Amino acid sequence: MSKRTNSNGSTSNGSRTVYVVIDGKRVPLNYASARVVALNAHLLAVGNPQRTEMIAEAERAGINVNSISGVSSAGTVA
Amino acid sequence: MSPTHGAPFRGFRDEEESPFFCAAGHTPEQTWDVSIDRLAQLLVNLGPLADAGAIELSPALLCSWHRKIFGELFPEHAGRLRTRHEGDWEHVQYGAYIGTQRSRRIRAYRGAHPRRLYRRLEKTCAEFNAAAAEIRASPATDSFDAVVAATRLYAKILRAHPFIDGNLRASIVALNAGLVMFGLGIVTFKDLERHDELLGIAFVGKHDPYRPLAEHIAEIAGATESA
Repeated sequence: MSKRTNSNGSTSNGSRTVYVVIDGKRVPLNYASARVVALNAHLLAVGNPQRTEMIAEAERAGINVNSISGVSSAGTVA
Repeated sequence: MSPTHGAPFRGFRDEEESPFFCAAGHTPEQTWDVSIDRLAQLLVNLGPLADAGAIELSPALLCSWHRKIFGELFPEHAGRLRTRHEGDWEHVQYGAYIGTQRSRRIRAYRGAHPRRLYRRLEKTCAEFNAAAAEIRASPATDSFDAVVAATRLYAKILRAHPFIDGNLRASIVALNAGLVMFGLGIVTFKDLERHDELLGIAFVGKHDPYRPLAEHIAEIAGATESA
């Protein structure tokens, strides 16, 4: 069965795929990649005592923490 | 005692001062782990939600996202706007960068007064919904218009700071919902300081203040645009 791509990126016989770029790689949004985005939101919001653990998780999730400038300083918005 | 913050408030990072620092029965690590998990699940569901039809932003939808992220951890506060609580207005203050990189300093902002919060959010959501409808109706608009609309939504929600905590995490859902409904990708901000700087401009700038942040988001979202 052929697929038709609509202007919004969805296909006529399936749901649209949402993508996210993580460390320069464009990956479909599944739970693992969404968790990276969620972690990013925490990194934006958080300069908290758990930063060490969060950085460790970021690294486990495949984020190159060294490339995240500002990770060593507190963010500003809760 | 209501969680009112008199001094400049820098959020979750402020350890025990932050209302959502540690949930009852959880360690701080478990607390943020659960909220990361719930936020991730929300993001995964944005695609199917957008597929089901245009997402109409409303204060109730925003509250439902906040409730999904924090409901298990902080049932008393998750999904409810700041209000009058035990005789006190729940004011919140937070910091955002202003100035150039050299003269950068943190300016304390006060979130919208709880009495005006609902109306302000309603107005912000209505503005986004109107912009989204206009973009959908016009074949001439490009994806940057969608990014600007989503950026305004994001910055205005953050500026109002509707919840006692977890505002950025709820706003991230709103931003990405705004992007996904136009076929754009989810964004991550790798340069956290740049994000903060541009958000600070969005808060105080006088001439098209959302544009620098929108351009930054467009740069990220453009790379993730659906093929």
